[in-house]
Amino acid sequence: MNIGSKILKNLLLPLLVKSTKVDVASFPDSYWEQFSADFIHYDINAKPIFSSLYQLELQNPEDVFEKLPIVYSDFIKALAEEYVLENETEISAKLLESNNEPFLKEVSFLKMMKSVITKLERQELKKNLPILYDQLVFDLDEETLRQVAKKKSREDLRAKFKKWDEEIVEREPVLMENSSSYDNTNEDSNKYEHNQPETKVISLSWIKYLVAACFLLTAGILYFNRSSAIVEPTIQPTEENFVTTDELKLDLQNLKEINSTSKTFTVLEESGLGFSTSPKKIAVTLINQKDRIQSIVIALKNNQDLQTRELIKNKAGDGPRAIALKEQNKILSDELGKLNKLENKYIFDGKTLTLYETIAAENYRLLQFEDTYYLYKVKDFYRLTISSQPQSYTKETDSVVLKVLDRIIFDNEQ
Amino acid sequence: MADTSKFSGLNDQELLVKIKENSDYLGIIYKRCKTNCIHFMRKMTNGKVYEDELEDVFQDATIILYEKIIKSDFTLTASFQTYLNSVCRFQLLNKLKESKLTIEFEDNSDHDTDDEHPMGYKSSITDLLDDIDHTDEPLFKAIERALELLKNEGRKCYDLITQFWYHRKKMDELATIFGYTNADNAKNQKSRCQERLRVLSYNELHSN
Repeated sequence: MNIGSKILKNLLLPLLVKSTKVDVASFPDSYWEQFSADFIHYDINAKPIFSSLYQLELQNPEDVFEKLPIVYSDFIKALAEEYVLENETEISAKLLESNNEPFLKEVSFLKMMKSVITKLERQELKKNLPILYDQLVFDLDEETLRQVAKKKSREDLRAKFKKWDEEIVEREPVLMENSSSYDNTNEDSNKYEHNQPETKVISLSWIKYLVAACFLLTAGILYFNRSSAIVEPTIQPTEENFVTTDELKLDLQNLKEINSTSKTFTVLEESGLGFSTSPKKIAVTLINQKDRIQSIVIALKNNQDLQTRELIKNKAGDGPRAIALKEQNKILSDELGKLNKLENKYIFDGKTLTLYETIAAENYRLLQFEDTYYLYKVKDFYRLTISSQPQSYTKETDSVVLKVLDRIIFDNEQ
Repeated sequence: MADTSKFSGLNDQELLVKIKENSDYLGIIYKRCKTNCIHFMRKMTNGKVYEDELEDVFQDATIILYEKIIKSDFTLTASFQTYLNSVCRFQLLNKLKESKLTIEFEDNSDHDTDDEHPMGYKSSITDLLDDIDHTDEPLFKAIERALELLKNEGRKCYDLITQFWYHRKKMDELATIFGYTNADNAKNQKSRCQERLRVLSYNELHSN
């Protein structure tokens, strides 16, 4: 099939399919070639087109006929575009021969437009040529990013140290004055202390060492406890291996919080080029429960280990610690079940929308087309159902609706 | 961080494919061929042409190459270096035809026995930058202003139109670049942008 016939088929088919029971889509290429050859004279003589269409036993032929001028205009424009793109067709040759005014007018405009674009893009390209290579090779690899982050963290830390040092120096003389008042008998030593401010800092440095030692000691104890946590159940338990109530608390403390953010979205609607005059607003709450879910899964796993070790100690498993662990597991399992039921779902009551998602708010758009609301996320559109119950996302697949939704987004981004 | 190594292994054919996909890859050609090409032209004109002018000729040659590449029927018959030397040579011959400058390499025999030679050229390559006509016409100027308006409005329409008309991107490629769900939608958006440009151009034409 030639380009012209293809263009016409694409333009007419959606219109005809709705109006006739005849399987127009399966018509041979020759049908469309003949139809398009007739159609180029539509503006002068529409009769051959009408008679061809009547043969298709259209349900409402007038509806189709009404739209033919638009189809003709689009057809001529598409042919002109192909011609300017140097895809000359038999039909465009005929249009040139017959001095078809709409076609010539369109070709003239498109040629001029193409020339202007060529001029501007050449200028742009020429301007950018010397920097294109640098742009292309400029790449921030993960290692560089890590190093930059590290450097920044170090700088921040150094600034903090400096601030602490300043605070220490400011506070120190007061401390030393107090200490010297206790030792009135040795004036020389007092003098010496006042003349040697460095020693005051050194004396406080011991506190730093002390803090560091405490830290190391705590880390050591924690490490020891962790190591003991992975002891195989078959190993004869010793008193040190056993769980303390502190460890139980630690697991719960490690549970992450659910993050929620709220934002009011303007509902994008079909309104030509620009926003509608009175935009609808929908309050959207984004609930990110991913961290919470992950932390519960980890806590449950840890509790399972603890329960195993508790069983080693108390075979009946009915000790207070075992009961507490069981209770804790039940609570966590229940919560996990509830969270999982909501994950990647939404609740929409027509005015407020709650999304159980991890994607940030700026990646969403809310749209309305006809009476349906749509959520746009990660390049796809999802139909929203009004309900008090959590709903799974239903992806919109209707190509006509998708076309309109794409256009709404596009228009509103302009 | 500039990682120059990742492109050094690309041969001319691979580079050609990359340039078709993304014009930024022209930067590699520019980097690889510029020095030899300028040296070639300097030798050709006995150093009597200003460097700026030679640079301009080289940039035009790169654009000629790009416009050839994005046309679907282009096949590379010489190395990029030889092609650019040849185009620069032909441009210079045309430019300096009427001047009294002594120009070497004026004979029409090929000097591409060794395609890898940095001074190689083919006299059969006579590609030039297509002239842009009607630049003084009111409609040309109106469309130019309208395109500038589109560019300042948010670039999406401008980019869609220019990617289609100049960079010859197909509808499925435009859909990928601009994030549309399919080629039909990209086509639809492009038509709307074109209509907008038409309206803006009309307004510009009649506002003065």
